[in-house]
Amino acid sequence: MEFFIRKNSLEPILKMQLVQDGRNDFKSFNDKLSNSSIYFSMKDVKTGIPKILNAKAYIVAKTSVSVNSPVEYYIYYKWKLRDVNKSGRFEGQFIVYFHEQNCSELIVPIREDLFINISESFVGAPCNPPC
Amino acid sequence: MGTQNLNNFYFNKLDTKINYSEYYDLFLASDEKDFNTDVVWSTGITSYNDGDLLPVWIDLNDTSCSTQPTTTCEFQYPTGNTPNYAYSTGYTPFVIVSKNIWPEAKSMCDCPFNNYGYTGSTSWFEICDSQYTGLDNGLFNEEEVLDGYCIYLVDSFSGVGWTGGAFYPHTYDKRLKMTQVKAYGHPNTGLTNQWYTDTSILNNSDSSGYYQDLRGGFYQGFYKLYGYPYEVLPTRPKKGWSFETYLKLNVIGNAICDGGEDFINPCCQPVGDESLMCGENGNCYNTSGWNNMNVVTTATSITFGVATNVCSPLTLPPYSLPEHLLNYSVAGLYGVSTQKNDNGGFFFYKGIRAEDKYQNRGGLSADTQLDTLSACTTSGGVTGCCNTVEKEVKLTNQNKSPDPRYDVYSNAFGVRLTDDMRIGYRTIRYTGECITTGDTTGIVPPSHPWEAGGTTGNTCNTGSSFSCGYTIEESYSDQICQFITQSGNCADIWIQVDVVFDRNLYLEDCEIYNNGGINDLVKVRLDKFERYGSHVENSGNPFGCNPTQQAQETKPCKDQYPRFIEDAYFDFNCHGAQVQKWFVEKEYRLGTLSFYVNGRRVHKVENYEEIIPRQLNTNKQTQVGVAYNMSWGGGALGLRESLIQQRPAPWDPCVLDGGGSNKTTFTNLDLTPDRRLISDNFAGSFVGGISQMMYYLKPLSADEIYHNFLINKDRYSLIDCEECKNCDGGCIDCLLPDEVEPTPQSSSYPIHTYLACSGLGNNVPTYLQDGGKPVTFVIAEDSGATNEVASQNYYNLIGTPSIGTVLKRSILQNDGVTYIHQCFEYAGVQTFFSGGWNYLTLFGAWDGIQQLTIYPLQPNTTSSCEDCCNGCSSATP
Repeated sequence: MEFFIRKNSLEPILKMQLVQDGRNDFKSFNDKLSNSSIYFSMKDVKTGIPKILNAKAYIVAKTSVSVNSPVEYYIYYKWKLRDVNKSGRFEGQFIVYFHEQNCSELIVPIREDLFINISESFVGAPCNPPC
Repeated sequence: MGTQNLNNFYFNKLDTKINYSEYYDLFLASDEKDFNTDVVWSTGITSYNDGDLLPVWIDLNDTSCSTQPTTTCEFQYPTGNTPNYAYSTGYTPFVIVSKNIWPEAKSMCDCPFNNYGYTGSTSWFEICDSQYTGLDNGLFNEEEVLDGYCIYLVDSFSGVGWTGGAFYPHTYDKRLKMTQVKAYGHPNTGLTNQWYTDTSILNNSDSSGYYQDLRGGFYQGFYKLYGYPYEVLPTRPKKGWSFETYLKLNVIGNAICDGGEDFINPCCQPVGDESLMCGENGNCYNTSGWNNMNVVTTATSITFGVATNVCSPLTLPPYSLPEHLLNYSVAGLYGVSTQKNDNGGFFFYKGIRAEDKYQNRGGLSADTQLDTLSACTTSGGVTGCCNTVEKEVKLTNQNKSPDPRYDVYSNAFGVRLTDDMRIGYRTIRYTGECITTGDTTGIVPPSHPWEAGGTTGNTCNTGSSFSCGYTIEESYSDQICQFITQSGNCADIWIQVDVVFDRNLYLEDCEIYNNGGINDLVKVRLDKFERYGSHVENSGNPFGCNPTQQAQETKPCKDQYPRFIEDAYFDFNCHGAQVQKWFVEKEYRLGTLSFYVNGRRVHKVENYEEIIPRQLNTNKQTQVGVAYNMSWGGGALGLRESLIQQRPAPWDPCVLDGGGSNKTTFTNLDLTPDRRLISDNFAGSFVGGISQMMYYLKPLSADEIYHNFLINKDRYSLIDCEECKNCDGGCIDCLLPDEVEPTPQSSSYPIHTYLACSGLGNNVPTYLQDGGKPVTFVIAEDSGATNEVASQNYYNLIGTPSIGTVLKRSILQNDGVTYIHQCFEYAGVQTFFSGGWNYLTLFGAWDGIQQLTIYPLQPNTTSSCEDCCNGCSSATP
């Protein structure tokens, strides 16, 4: 999986969602996710040097398609400037601790690696940034 | 194809298949913003600017919500004769209002109304029938009742020029208003103002700002007045609701620790091996105002009580009970007795605040107090909306329920934090069930339990009989946040509490009232049925919904029908159609009730049946402000402090007369068993600090609750209980109040560190100039620069350099041409921790950090920064 972001840009956020292949009880997973702690790590694929180590990641609810549909969550990591101040290719992983299951751990993604590509940007902040 | 032969097997005998159902995997989501962006980006609490979702938000530190009064015990619990009590502002109940408004809120007639007071072109609506019930929770005091004080409704205070109206207890606009509960029961008749129950609230402040300490008192307010043009919250939200508050848990007993030592949770730190002093439930925290201490010495074990600093006197030692708090007294027919009850720690309540004090008590003999008032009627000559003249009604014995308890059934819900630090709810549930008799014929039980006998005939056609009743339903979590309550440092601490009800089904429009709603219980008189058979779109009319389609109602003022009890009433006949429908449609009320502490779920109740507040089963005039209540910091008094008027013969007892020998006086209402359901189960309060409360018209999801936690984390020094419970002081979030930051112990990394030499040229960035931040050097093994000084290869070759060794490294400046030299002094191997970012990594030649490129260190080493830095700023590579 390839995620792309420009150097010194905070969006798009990195978010992941459950593989719903019909084999899992997604309601149960989202319920467990609602009481969990999530951390994100990212290392440079070239040097192996960690760029982000166990930084706090969170859950955010998907927009419901129906008023009666159960809540589903993404897990996401919100970039900080120091995370994206260097271009390169990185590998990222999330570790999820489910608190209502005696803090059992899940490291994702499992089947396919997640790569974050931070590409160079040639624009800089204007003199008077609006935000 | 050959014939099948069981002895020949043509296929692989062994096959494998990965079973993906045993684990979950995640994949990268699209960049589409199909998520709650507020949770990710907002710097305010969830829906802070949306009255549709957050109609109630009260922050005591915000002057638009509170005048932030200061007070003392002298004013909160006067123990002497205080004749100026009625009018002196020092004794006036505190008032708080929401800073948000529900857009559909109504606080004035929809139709033209011009009967009452005028200011310019704007009028206010006056409800003087509040005198019949306003004494019972202290909204009015005795003198105010006798002087004819009323409730005033306005569209806005600015419209009528009442600039101070927001914090006056008897004037209401579209914001939810709550007032401090006052308990006027049990007056000492010899003095003007002395009461039994302590409802004190004291002011306080800390780093979170202004807040209030509840010392027996709490806030209560109504959000709808049945039959009057006032409704500032919906009675049944479409999908659910959420309540959030910030409470300060108090330590009780800390001052009595031996030798002045503090608690080391849950016990005092022993002095030598002499003694060990522990709080009740192994806990130094307490929510009811009193802790039972157990002292263990080498010789004996004794117990004694310690109360928090309350305004009212305690019982004698060793128990020292705060007997004037609701939590430590029980009221009954023969007065009040001192004992700890099981109502302590209520901090949220919703529903009816008291039974009908004017209701005939079914099955009992004459009621002297009510019989005296049997000829009384409510106020006459009252003008309602559309300038209609309202009929006066009889004051007593009008309730259509069999006894006062029925109004409480499925109409009272409270949330509490117990002394042993468990959070949960209590409600009084109306129940109905088929009881198997084994017979299809037999004695049909009477409709109501107080009725005698029965008739012979068919029972249930299933061989069962249907029986109605009530049950006290409650459910509590395990001990919350054990990092605080079990192993913490016993300092007062703030917590965030969320309670969320999420109904299984989303309901809207008429469904809200018809599908499991209170219309199930309403019986409308047949001759009136057609009149109520219309549904007016957007009328906000709870009773305008009926499947019968009629011509559209044109007069919006009809939103008060069907008028209880003239046209309709709640029919609690256990075998009647209404009650049966109520129970059959239970599925529409089911949902999940969840409790969160500091953003983490601590308790979940599946298939919880929601409580839908409803009005009393009587005329609107005798229930002003009794139904549709909400309390913050406590439960409800019920009729525990209820007073009823009396007047010496031969004077008319129905007249409220404030002067002379024929003056009306008030006496305690007889608290018979059927009038005590609320006071026995909800007359309690949280003893501790309160700061904020929010009431959402939606079930908050876990991410929204945690977002609110993050927003308020710094203000209240909140900790994440789930991440701290096994942390042993390892993470920064786990720092408790007054606790020194512990040395981190997790995720440590030994790093070769250098400090930049000072006194270098201006071209070098300041973070390298001052030498304040340690630096380490890294180089990629595939960069070709294998002789990079201080690279991993460097240490492999020469081992660890001696501390004080100075290295020189040339730095390519931003122009890509100029180099300067930077000197670094080796500081040895230091340990750093993940997430700290308190050291700087300078990479090899190919890498860029902070727009600065570091080239290999010079191979020559020097003995001091001074020697190295000669010509630092003009060096070449």
